Amino acid sequence: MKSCEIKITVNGVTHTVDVEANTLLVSVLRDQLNLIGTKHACGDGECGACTVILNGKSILSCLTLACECNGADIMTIEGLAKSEKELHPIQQSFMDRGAVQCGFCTPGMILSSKYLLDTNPDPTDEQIEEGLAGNICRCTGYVKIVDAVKDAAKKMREING
Amino acid sequence: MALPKFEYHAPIDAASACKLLNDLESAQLLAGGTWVLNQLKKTANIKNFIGIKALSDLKGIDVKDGHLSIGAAETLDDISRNGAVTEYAPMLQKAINKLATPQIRNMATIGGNICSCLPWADLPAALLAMGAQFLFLEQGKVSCAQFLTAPKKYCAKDILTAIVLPAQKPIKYKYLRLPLRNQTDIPFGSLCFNETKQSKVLTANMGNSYPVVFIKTAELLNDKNKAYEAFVIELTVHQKDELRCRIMVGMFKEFIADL
Repeated sequence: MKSCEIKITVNGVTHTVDVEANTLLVSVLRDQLNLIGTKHACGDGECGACTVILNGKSILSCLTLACECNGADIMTIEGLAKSEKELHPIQQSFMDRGAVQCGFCTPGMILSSKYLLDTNPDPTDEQIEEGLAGNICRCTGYVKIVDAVKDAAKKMREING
Repeated sequence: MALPKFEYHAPIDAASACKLLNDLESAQLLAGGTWVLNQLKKTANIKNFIGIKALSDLKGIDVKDGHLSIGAAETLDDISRNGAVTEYAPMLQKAINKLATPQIRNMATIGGNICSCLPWADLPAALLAMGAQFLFLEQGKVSCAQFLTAPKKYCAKDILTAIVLPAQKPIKYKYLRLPLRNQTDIPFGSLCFNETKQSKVLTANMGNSYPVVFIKTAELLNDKNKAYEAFVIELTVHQKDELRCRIMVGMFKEFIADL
């Protein structure tokens, strides 16, 4: 096939979109669905700015063909907070701990943190560093990001009992 | 960066994927895509992609008849979290967890790591130490050692369906990836040791060459000086970078000290 129609659920909303065989998921999210929180940066799978959660796993949308996503359940940064008034604990911790500077890497960083905490609710510093190894930040030096993830983990453990 | 135009094919099983691979012009299998799509953006000229990631006959991790079988399209993350892998192939689990990044491990498949035939691939040396066999659709079972003599030949027109390992709990295992910094760096070498009731194998991937070149068993390991000398000889043939050679020699000495 050279093009096809796919049905994807993004942040709980199902969309039907036409894509070319060579269309990348990041392009569908940004250009067709206008979800521009997902960044397209290196395009090589090295920086992690395009990270989204697909069927429960963090993946790189710049290395994913959209035509292979038919039926997928996708979360982007826009779908993380419960409402416009209440941020997700990870987002709140990133703000509280000063883990955001220019903000370009932040969506990917937060979604990688979410995947990490979904799979390991009480990570060590080393596990946080490993969990975020696929996300590059050129501003913060990572210390505040690791602090934020630790803080978020604590908050989420309290919420989840 | 946008991808060049190509046609995408979605076969229903491995047999039809293999037929497409042989019939279509400039065809390439696509599993995790973490290497292939990257190359497509840069240099590769591929007219037809054959998507195999979702094929059920390339999936599954099972223990049966004394063997641990891992479907070639299983992602590295799913493999590393599998209980049978933890029990029978802890070195593979360790090697996977040192490899790339969480996102890459969630996407990349074990078959892709093997069939991309890259000199710096992390897993072949570990699989070799564990006595792995590769099950191809048309060529049947090929031992890892045999495969590594001509990996591109085996992968060119056939599909790797599964990786089969003896389901034996290791008595001892050790894995070291160089450089020591985890994940994001491309490795320039790895050292692997696996000991079961039946065998004791040390392998090394020396980075600049593919296949893995150093395989020595129990006899040589009993004489550490001989093992060391043999390693240095092999290394100087296959690794031309002086600094890397020095690092690997130092690491090797340390690695074999308590084997």
